[in-house]
Amino acid sequence: MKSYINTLADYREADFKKEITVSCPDEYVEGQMKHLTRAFKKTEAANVIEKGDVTVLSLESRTERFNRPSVFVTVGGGLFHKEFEEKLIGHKTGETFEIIVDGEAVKVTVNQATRTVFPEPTDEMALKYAKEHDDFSGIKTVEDYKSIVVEKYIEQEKNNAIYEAMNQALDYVLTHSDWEFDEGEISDMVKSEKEYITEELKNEGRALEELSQNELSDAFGISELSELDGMLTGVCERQAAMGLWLAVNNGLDPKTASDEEINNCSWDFLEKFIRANVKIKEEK
Amino acid sequence: MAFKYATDETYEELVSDGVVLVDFFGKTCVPCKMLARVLEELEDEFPFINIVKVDVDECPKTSERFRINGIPDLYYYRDGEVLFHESGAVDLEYIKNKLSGILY
Repeated sequence: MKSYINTLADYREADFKKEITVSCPDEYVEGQMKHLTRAFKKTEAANVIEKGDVTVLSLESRTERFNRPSVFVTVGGGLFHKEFEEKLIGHKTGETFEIIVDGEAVKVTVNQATRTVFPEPTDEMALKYAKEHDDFSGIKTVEDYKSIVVEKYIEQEKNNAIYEAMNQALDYVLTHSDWEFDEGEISDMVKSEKEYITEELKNEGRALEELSQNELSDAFGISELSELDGMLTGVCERQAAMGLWLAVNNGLDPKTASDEEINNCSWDFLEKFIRANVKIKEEK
Repeated sequence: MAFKYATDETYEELVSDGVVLVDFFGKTCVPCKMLARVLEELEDEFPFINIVKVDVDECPKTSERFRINGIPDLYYYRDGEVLFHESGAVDLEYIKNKLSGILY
């Protein structure tokens, strides 16, 4: 690489969480039980609207969002409008009423409301599930299913904790080292990133210039297209710094290492260090 | 509405109407299984959203056409038009945020 390191901070001096407690919340397990029973779920008509019901509404108001002859809304799902959805609870199918939302009156008619009902899980369901899902193969009972759900969740949480600590160590090195970035190298990286983004958008029949302010913000965290180069320069400098650091820790000379060699560098040194220094406690 | 499984022949028809989420997946891919569970939760909560599953091994022409290099790959459609897509397993809240803007 043409960029180089003036002084390199020691990742072993980074401050990261040394003790982490992981546990699997009951609500998560409860939610996961639906996967076991969903093949047996039933949909029934709901007379009085509750959270989770799927409604078909007619809406009349002065605002576009709340002016629709027929719209599907899952109550409490949060996709349509949280406050509006909450105010539907307790109303009945066939009823017409008014809801004030964002200071505007909305005339609502409930044309239909349905509720999905999940049965109580049984060991037979667990057996059927095991046959259809190889990551749950061998389970025989609902309790077996729960154990695997909890085990997977805990494993994921542990990995997340390690990953987070690795990121903290990485950030420490990136912010406490002194890097000398080669302008031409960074500019080539930015160009290449832009070409990739342009190609991806082209596959979707879009162009960078067509992106709205919201899309730019969602995708790149910027408010206008002119900020893209600056944002990408920051990203590429970070990538270059990571490449240099990885090269050093993989026994390569960053000046002579090829892109391919740097891309093949391993994070094992950091993961081993973090795993050796983070104590993870499982809470039942 | 249950998931619909596309073939190379039925793909276009399945994505032609309304808001459709297309999940390009592989049977043995672990992140695909994670996303599959997320999509099941989505389907339970929002049964009016159309979800189409495309097994990349069984739909080679469609996968080639969309240059699917990594799976899972989630495409968001409205009335037959691709709005955007995302590679990798994403969580339910993320998908819900995207859908909120598309649906309403």
